[in-house]
Amino acid sequence: MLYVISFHKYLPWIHELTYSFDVYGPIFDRVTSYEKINDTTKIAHEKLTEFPAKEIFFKPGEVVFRFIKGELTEPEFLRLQNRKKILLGLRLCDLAAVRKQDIAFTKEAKDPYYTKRREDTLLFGYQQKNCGDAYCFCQSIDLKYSFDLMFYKRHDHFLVETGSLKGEEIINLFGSFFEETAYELTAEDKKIENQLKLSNHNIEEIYAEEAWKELAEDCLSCGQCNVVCPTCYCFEFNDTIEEESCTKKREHSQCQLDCFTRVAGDHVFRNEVVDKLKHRIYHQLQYFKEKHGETLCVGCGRCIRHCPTKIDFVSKINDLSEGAP
Amino acid sequence: MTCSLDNPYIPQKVKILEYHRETPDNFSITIDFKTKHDPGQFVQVSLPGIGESPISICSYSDEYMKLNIREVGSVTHKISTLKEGDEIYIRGPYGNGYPMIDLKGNNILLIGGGCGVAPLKGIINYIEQYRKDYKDIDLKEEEHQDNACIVAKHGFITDELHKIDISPKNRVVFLCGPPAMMDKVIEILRSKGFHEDQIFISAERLMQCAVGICGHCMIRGKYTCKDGPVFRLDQMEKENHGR
Repeated sequence: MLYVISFHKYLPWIHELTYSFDVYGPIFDRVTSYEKINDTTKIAHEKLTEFPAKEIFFKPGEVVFRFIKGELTEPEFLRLQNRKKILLGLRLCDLAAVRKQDIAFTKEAKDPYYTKRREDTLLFGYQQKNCGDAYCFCQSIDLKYSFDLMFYKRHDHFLVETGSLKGEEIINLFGSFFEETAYELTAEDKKIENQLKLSNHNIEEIYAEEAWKELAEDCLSCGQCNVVCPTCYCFEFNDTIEEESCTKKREHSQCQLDCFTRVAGDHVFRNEVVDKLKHRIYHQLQYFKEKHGETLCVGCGRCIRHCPTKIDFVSKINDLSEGAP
Repeated sequence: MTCSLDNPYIPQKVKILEYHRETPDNFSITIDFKTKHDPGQFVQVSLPGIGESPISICSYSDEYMKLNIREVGSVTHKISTLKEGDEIYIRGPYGNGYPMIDLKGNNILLIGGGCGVAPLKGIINYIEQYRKDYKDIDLKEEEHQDNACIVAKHGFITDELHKIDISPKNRVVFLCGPPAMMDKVIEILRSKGFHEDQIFISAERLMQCAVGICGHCMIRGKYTCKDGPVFRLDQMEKENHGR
C-alpha cells in the first residue's frame, strides 16, 4: 500500500514519534551524521551524511565487561528491555549497509552487543532523485536491503511505501498524518543515477597487477576511508584501569593503520601501503562476497569523497580490468 | 559472575597449577582448564586491565592445559610474574588445529622454529597417544637459546634441512615458526619435491576477538582465528602468506 505525507506534516510526525521511540536520523551539526533526534529542525535529508549509521548499533567505546572486585560483569543493557528504536533517512546504500552489518555481527559471529542494540529497530528508507554526487556508484552494486517504510521525496510531499507489517502498523498508529494514494510506484520513481560506475566485479584476476602501486602512491594510510565507511566493521578491544576497577571496551579499528596487524614484539604483518589499501578494497568487493554471496561495499562512495587525496579505486579497477587479459 | 554464557568475549577464571621458567624470556604454565582441544588450537589468555593475547596450546589432555609463553608484550610480561595458585582468564580453545585424523597413515615431519615448537609439542603428545596411526615421525627444530621444553639443536633449521635426505613420499610437514623462517623452509621443501598440499603451517597474526569477526587476523579473506591458525599451504595465499 502507498501513502502520502506532506512536507509540513513530516517533521511534526517525527516529533510525535520521539515520544514512543528513540528516533535516529541524519542530523546536521557542523557535519551530518546519524544521531538521536531531539530537535527535528536539525534533520538533514538533502545530502548523504558524512558519517555512516553504523555507530548506532556498532557503538564505539562499547563496554564489553567491567572487572570489579574480582568479578567480571557484563553491561546491564544486555539484560534490559530496549526502548524501541527507529532509524530514519537511510539512503539505499545505508539501508544495504545495515544488512551487511547484520550479516557480520549476527551470522559471521554472534555478537551480543550488536544484536541487542539492533533488536526492536525499525528502518525507514529515504530516496530522492538527485541522490548522489560524483562519487556514488551504488547502481553498480546489486544492493539488497529491507525496510519498514520507504520515503520517496516529491515536490511537496513524500510517497510512503510500506515494506513490512511493522511499517504498516506505524502508518495506522499515526493515521492522521498520512493519506492513502492510488498511485503506483514506477521503476522511474526508484531510479538513482550515478556518474561513477564499477564495471568489473571479479577483481580476483587483477590482484597481482603492478598498477595498484600507482594508486597507493597517493595513499596516506590515514584510515579515513575506514572511519566513514558504513560497512567497515573491524574492531579491537582496549583495557583501561580505573581506581578500583578495570574496563574492557571495544573500539572501531582501521585496517589502513600499521597497528592493525602489529603484534607484540613490534612485527607488522601488513606494513606496505599498497597491501593495506588492497586489503580494504578486496575485503569490500571480494572476500565478503566469497563468504556471503554479496559484496560488503554498498557503493556510497564515502571512502572516495572523504579521502584526503581522493583515491578513486573504482576507476582504477575499471582501467585495470580493461587491460586485463 | 554476572555474565551470560553465550557471550563469546567473556573469559573464565582459571588457576595456574604449575609455573616453569624455561629461558630468560620464555616460561610454561599448566592451568586448571579442563577442556577438550585439538593440537594446533589456541586460547585467548587475559588479565583484566592489561589485555589479552592469543597463545597456542602445547599439551594434549582433557585434564589440564599447558601453555608455553614468550615474554614479548605487556600481557605476557605480566603473566610471567605470576606464580602457582594465581589466577588468569582464558577463553577458547579456538581455531582449526592440525587435521590429525585425516592424516592417519602418513609419515610426519615436524619443523619448529623458536617459540614455534610450542604448538608442535601438543602434536607430539597427541601422537604418543595414537602412535600406531602414524608412521615415521621426524622432528626438526631451530633454537637459539636453551629451551628445557624440548631438547633442540642450536642453529638454523635451514642448514639442517639442506643436509638431511628426506623423501616427500607419504609424508606431510607441520611447520611453525617466525615468518622469515617459514618462507625459507617452504622454499627448501619445494626443492626436495614436497607439494603445497603436504605442508601445513601454523600462522600467527594479531587477534582480538578470536571468533572470526574483528578482522585483524584476516589473510586474503580467511580468518586466521577461525579458518586457521593451521592452514594447508595450497589453501592459503601463495605469495608472502597473504600480506
